[in-house]
Amino acid sequence: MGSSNIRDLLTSFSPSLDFFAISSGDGRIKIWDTVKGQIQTEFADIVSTGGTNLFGKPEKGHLSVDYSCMKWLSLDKKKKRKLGSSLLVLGTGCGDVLALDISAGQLKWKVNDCHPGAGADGIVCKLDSMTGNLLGKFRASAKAISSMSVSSDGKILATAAAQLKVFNCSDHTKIQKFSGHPGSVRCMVFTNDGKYILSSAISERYVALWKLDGGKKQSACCVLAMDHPAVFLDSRCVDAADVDASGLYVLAISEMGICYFWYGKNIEELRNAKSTKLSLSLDDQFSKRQKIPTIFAAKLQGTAKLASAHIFLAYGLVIKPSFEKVIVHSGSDVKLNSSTVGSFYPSVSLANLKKGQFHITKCFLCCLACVSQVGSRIQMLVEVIGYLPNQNTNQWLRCVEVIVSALDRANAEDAILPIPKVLDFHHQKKKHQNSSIVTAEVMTDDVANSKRVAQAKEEKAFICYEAWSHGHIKPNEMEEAGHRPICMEDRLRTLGILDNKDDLTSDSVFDSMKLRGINIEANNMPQKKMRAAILSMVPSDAYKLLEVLISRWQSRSHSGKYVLPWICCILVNHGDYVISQEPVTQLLDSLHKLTKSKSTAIQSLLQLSGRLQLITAQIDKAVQNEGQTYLDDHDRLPARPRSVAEQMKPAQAAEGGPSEDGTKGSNLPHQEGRNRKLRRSHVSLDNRSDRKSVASSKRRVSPSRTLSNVNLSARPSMPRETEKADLRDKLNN
Amino acid sequence: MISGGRSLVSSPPAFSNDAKKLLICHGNTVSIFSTSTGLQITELEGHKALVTSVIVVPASTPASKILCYCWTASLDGSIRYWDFSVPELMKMIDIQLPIFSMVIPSLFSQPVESDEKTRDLFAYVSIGVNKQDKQPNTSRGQIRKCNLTKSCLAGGVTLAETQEPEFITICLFGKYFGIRDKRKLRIWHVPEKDSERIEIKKMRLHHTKTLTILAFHPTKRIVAAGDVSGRILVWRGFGNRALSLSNRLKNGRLMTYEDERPGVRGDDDADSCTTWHWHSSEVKLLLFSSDGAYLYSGGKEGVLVIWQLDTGKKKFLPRIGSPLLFFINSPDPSLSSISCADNQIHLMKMPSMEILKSIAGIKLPCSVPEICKNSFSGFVFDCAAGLVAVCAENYCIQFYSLFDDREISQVQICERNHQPGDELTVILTLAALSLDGCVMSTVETRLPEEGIGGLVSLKFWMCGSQIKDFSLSTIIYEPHRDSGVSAIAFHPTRRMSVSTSYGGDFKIWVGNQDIQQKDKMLQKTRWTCHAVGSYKKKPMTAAAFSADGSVLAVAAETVITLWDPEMNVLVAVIGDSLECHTVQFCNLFPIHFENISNGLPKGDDHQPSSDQFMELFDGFEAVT
Repeated sequence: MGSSNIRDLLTSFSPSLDFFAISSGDGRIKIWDTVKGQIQTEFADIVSTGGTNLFGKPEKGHLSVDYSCMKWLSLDKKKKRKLGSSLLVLGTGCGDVLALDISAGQLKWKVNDCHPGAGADGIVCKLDSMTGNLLGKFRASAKAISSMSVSSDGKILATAAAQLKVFNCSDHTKIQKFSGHPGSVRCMVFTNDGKYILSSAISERYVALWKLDGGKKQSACCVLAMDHPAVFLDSRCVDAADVDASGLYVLAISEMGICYFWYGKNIEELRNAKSTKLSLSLDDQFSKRQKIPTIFAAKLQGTAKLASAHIFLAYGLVIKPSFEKVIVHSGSDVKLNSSTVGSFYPSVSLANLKKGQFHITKCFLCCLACVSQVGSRIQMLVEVIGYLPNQNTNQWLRCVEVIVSALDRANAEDAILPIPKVLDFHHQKKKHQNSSIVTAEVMTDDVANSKRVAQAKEEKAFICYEAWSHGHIKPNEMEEAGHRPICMEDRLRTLGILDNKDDLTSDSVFDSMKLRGINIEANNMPQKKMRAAILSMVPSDAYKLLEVLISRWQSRSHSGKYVLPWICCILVNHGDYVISQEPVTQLLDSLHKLTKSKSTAIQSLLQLSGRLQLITAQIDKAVQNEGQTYLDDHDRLPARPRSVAEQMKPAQAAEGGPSEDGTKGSNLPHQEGRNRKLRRSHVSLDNRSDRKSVASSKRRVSPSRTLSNVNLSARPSMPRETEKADLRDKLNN
Repeated sequence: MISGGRSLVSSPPAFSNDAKKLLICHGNTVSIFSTSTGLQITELEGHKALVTSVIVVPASTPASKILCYCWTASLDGSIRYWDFSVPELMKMIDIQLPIFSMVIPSLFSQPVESDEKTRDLFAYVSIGVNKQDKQPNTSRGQIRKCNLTKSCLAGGVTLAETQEPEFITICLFGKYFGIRDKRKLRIWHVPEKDSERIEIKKMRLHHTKTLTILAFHPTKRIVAAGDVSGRILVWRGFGNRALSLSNRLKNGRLMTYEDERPGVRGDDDADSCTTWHWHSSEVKLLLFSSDGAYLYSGGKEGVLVIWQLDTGKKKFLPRIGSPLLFFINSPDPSLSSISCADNQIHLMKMPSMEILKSIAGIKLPCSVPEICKNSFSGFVFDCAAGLVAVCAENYCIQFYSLFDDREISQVQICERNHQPGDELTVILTLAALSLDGCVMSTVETRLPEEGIGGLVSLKFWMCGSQIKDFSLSTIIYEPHRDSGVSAIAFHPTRRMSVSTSYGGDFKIWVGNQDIQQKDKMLQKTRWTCHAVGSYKKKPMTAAAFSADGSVLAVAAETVITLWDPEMNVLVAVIGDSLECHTVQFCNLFPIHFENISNGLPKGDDHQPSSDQFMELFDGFEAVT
């Protein structure tokens, strides 16, 4: 394991960002594939491989190599994507320079003792990157050079000890020098236009920006503050010509593994710019012993738009870095989730397992699967825990954590069913004279279908969504039409299929207009008060109230218990007026029919209650014969059936009287009772849903229809049935 | 337009002399890969058509092992000579006839101390000649001789004419080369001093079945051939009469042999012929080991069989996972490469037969049985990351980077082992990716056996990172009862998708965040059914969301229904039976609402961003 301190890490991205080289000071270089997130190659002990021995086995001696710096060079600027044209150049602590061809996996060249004493002499050497031949050297500084950078055009060279010096590459003449860093500079980089140098020294908590203008001014033109010393710098300067994203973008990584980002349109703005931080969110799972995941490498990939940039990051743990491209907007901090893959967990869950299992030396997988069934939904939790053979640390490696939820056939139970809507054809008709024939046809079809629903209640009848030939319609009109759907109910009403009288039952009309403050449901309204209220009304008003009451009773929106006394009262007090209206409205006739049908329904119930009374009487008798010991109970027992029977009547009345089921089932009182019970249970099950679903459930239990055994598997037809039931429900009312 | 995803396995590759590089015919180029890292080092660009042969000039002395010269031949009719270390084109010979195969025997022959300083270098090429009769596109094969030094075809020398251009096989030291021609082998003996007009001795060996491949023993006069039924025939001592020995042996001695030649058919010129039969189908790969003690064979089963030549005993390397095509020995005895039909080349450590590195190309779209054919073309694009997801044969979806032209990852969709040649029981019928590439949805169909046991399941996969390491989020068995899923589409912005079925309904699925607090933070998305819709019970064949996600368009057989996906309200119905009859219409389902309502869904209404990808993939298909 390398050191967790990112100061000691050597990192470098390949020019195309496909690969990432990391060396943690143990002489090994790992190459990660940033696209796949996998390790690609590992170079250990490069020095002894290569050379003449073609197939010889490399000897293990990697610790003897001590790399001090690393840089991934691109040889051919034109073919950026070809990996073969890049070299990873490394410097060692003993003054050697070597170049690795990563794609070929071999040492390209090596210069022994290029810098005796690891560059402490302050000499800069120029090497041919293809061959490693020494092209030239000069003494740049009296002190050891701690950092060096070449501008992107290759013309200017900057070296830094404590003092920054800028040289012309061709003739090695000094152009400028900057002093201001007290310690030796750790990292230094040119901006890509070569106008500025960024630098940061050891134990300095800022990044200094120096302007290369050849002037005598020696102080930094801009200082960017950080919380911790920087270990890595990158920058991008976009020319003013590119108006969209012009400005200076600066990136730095601190010793603590936090990435800083600054943006400014120009130097003045950058000077005042606040840093944007990119950091990793730490989970609680990492105890203090654990290595803290950090951001250890970054590269400014490009600018997205003004004040934001694409940054390619390598973060996580050194043993398993993760790679991600993030967009950072200046001013909004970014928190990255650190991946837990490959990390070591503390021995928290150790207690869950028995001692015996520690004998296992190889990795084993423990698979805990718990399956809980919630209704039809099965939730699976599969957790796979791998055990590491490391007995001393007792660490756990959690390999996979998977939660898969599974749905079976009944996957659409909570799904929304389509809301039936059709388009307003009248509207369309006006609009498209040329397509009138089509729409007219559609309309008649529609009407015919609806009438069938109303009259015969046929199974096949459904509202069909018809449309017109799309050739006639222009896009904008289409959209217009599409956004103005009309409710099915309104549609039917305009066609005259639904009775307008239904409006009377609507609560708003009822409350405001007709009832005039009379509270029907007031439980114990004395007869006198009722009479007074009725008498105070104008006969025509009273007649209207009667209409309302009858329709209410019919629709079962109010039970007969409340409605009937009122009807009775009106008939008694305004009888003359009602009779005078009768030839026109046939109201009394319909009332008569209604009461008749109710009475037939009640008749069977009365029969039932009579039989029940008979049975209870017989039971009473039998109990009385048993003896005198439970006299107290006997006194109470006869009272109970009677009270049951008494309660039953209001209950039936409260039910509102079954309208059609009752008439049909009059010969079978037992079945009728069961039906009702069934219906009630359905109602309670579906109580969260609206009236529609109640209606559909009622249909399902109704024994007289063929459709009663609705196959649940016939899901797709459900919406239509619901809709049909809804229609019928309305029509029945 | 960019192109990529070329086949790595169109022709056998070649190792460099130091075995550190592998030269692979890769479309119009020759790509050079490092054998130690499996990464591409460089490529030889110049050919204008598929490169069919690459021959590395062998090193005659140990010192010349670092020399990196090679000859390549291509269908564009040119032969080129390269220094592949630089890389640089040294020479080009244009013979203007498509070359399907090329061998240069004299490169491999033992260096003869010759008094002549320069001898002409001859290549034998298998070229395609246009037929003179009616079909102009079909070409006949010819084996011709080509003088590489003089850069021309040797005049008037046509060694053989075949129905189709054949692959020429050469023996390790260049003494013999041969082709298979239907049910016979044709073998030529290369004269030691080759010249333009020299007579080349030839012979034939016959078999009762169509032969597929042949191989020469490196040292002895043994030739092996595989046939379509999976048999391997090994002729020993071939060509005593017709080829080399006829000069030296007297006729009388030869006649005595004739009675005792087991297995040799008719008066074929061989001492004996043995037959081995293990492969159940056609033998595709046949090669002798470099020391000649073993014979490697392979075929559709994806199993490499190692035959001990003297005893006929077998060893196996199973589970390579794909039909085998080529097997190449390297100069390094511990390294060899094997090319598989799934566009992969494995580098193998030899005595132990373990796979060291794999060079993977794009997977070929798998062949789907006719019953499951629908609008799905076998690939989907991830426009956000520039990837294409290809359904591979081994129940995987391969993510292939279009810009980097390499494989990113593979996601195993079904929990099932893939053995090439097995009868398919599960088929990956559909795949779709969300616009941001974070959610993938797949449909797999388990084929019913004798009418029972068919199962359709819909899976939702989620991934968080760039690497496309998708993990299963939700599995829905029988999402539309017994009917198959015809299409999946994702909402452009939200975690919502729609699946349509031939059974006449569509379902809208939404992903809900589930947060579990059990000593660990788990955030998983669970997909549930949000809405169900149907239109007159018509089979739904395609679906698409509008660009802003406010309108869902579902094609119901002949019409298009437009829905509000949120409220599940039918908004409009457009189209008539005449114009949109077929499923093909649904393929071109325009993304933009305006285009739908135009009622002209015949144009290419791809979104601009996917446009280049479409073009690109055409290129992909053309090569692979």
